[in-house]
Amino acid sequence: MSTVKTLGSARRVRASHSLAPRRPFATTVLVVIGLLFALPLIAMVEFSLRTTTGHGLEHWTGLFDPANEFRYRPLFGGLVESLTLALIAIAIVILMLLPTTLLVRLRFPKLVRVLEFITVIPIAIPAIALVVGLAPVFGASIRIINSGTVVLGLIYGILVLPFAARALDASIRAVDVPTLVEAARSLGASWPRVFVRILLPVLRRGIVAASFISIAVVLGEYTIASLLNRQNLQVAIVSISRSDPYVAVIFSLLALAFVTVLLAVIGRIATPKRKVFDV
Amino acid sequence: MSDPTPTAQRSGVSVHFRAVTKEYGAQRALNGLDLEIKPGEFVALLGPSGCGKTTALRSLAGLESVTSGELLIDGEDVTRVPVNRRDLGMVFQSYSLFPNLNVIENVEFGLRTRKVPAAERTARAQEMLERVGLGDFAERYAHQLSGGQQQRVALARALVTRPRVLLLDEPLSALDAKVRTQLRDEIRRIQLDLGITTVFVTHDQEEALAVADRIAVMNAGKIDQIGTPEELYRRPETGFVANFIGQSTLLTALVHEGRIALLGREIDLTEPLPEGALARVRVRPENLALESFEHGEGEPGRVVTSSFLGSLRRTTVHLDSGLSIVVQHSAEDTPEVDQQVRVRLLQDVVTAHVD
Repeated sequence: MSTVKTLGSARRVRASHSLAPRRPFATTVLVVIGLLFALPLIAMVEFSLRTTTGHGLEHWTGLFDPANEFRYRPLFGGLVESLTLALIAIAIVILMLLPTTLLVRLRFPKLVRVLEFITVIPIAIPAIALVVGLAPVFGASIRIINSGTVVLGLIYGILVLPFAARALDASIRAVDVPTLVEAARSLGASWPRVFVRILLPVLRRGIVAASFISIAVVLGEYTIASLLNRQNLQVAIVSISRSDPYVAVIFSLLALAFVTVLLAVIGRIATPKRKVFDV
Repeated sequence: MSDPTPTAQRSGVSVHFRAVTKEYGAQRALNGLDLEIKPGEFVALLGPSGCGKTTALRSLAGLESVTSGELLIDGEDVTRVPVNRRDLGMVFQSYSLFPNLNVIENVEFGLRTRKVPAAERTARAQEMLERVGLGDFAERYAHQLSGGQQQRVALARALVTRPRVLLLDEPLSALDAKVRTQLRDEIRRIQLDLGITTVFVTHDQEEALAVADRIAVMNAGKIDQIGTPEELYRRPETGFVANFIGQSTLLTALVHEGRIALLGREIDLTEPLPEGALARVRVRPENLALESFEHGEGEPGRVVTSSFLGSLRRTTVHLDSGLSIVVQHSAEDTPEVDQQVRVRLLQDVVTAHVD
């Protein structure tokens, strides 16, 4: 028993000298920050449940009432627009950013820093400055492409670069891509075969993570779409909040829940399930 | 780009490096490298880091383009042939197994690119796995294997396509000592079985001496000396080779009437040197004997350190003449630090040179 006591006190002594904050302090910080995040959400839920007589699911069930279809049409239209924009942004990530990142890593490693700098630019420039610069391009591009959605999608492709690039880069760094490519090439594989059979499966986690982050960014984007007079989900939510604030809050909550689920899925995918046999 | 056609099982082919130069900007990694490898031969490229051995191997594989010179495999100029059409098998230092494929799929990969029918593909892959002792591991993934097993799979994957030449880029470096020795011997056994021409890059002289038919010692982008392990060990032609292969001590002595005085003895020279020249002689630890100070012969000195190496012992002695020398002797003799001893040369004839 005395041994146990000694070990326990030793552990306490170590803990007291540790650089980590004490448990009550850490708990307090966590509770405060948790409340900071939770209170607005709780308030939103409470607000969405308010009725003339108290609380109920009236506004939630109203979403599915055919009588309200005309009122809520802009919201569903905005949702479809946002999802389309997200798909275009993902296509840009997979078809342009992924090959570029691989090319830089494999063939031009000296350009890694340059690529990192370029991909971080969209996050460093304020949205309003981005819009001022992009507005003339947007106008000219619409005349050529004849689709505002596609052009805004291209802009969103730029907007998601900082997030998607990091997700892809992390997955490329996690495996020895140059050696895998060299091994496949030395076994007689052509470049398309190397890309399809080796690189895409090996980098699957990074590609999925980059895609989900792109969806999350695009679903939450308001400023650029609003300033360019496009009706995406966030613009529609703000628009409808003037006439029906309950539905606006409900859609905001649903969008938030969707993004939270996406991030949780990314977390699961990014966690390697490795069972190592030491044989 | 089409995939290469299947190749038939064959014995080794010749490999020629002809005046191969590789430059990275102002830096020259290969400096007019000339090397001829006979069919079925196992040649080790040995040298310190930065000597160009890996660049030479990667150039032969097609993973690096050469600045000038020619690379010939079986008489065919492959200098400008892309890597996937050279029909070579390569094993890398890092295990390089495809993590998304299991063991058998990894081994079948090269056969798929050659469009070998499924049944034959599986049979050949399984046979090669049996050959490397991993017949029961076909369904496992890379992360479920130890380092040695992963390298065995990489070897099977490289060999299953029956390549013209097998290239080994420090395949044992990442393994622990025991597994390294086992796999080294296995590689040699399989190479002899298949008769495949093999180029093996290593910085470990013991590995090279143990498995290679010939060793090319590389220095500053070209070959300093090439020969059998025995030739390189016993008759190094340059100071660099003598210093790099095995352990030795450099001694100097004046040439007088075709002989030199070394460690208290008059020794003959294998080849004559000019009278009065200052000859430089490299003496290996096993060519020296440690003797009692009171009753023995040779030059006196004091023990500095003594290391137990299992069946033998290596002792560093600081001679009274001011030189430190390493002596290899029986593990039964256990000299103490600072003990007075004598060092005697066991050879009657030595190879010396004059700079």
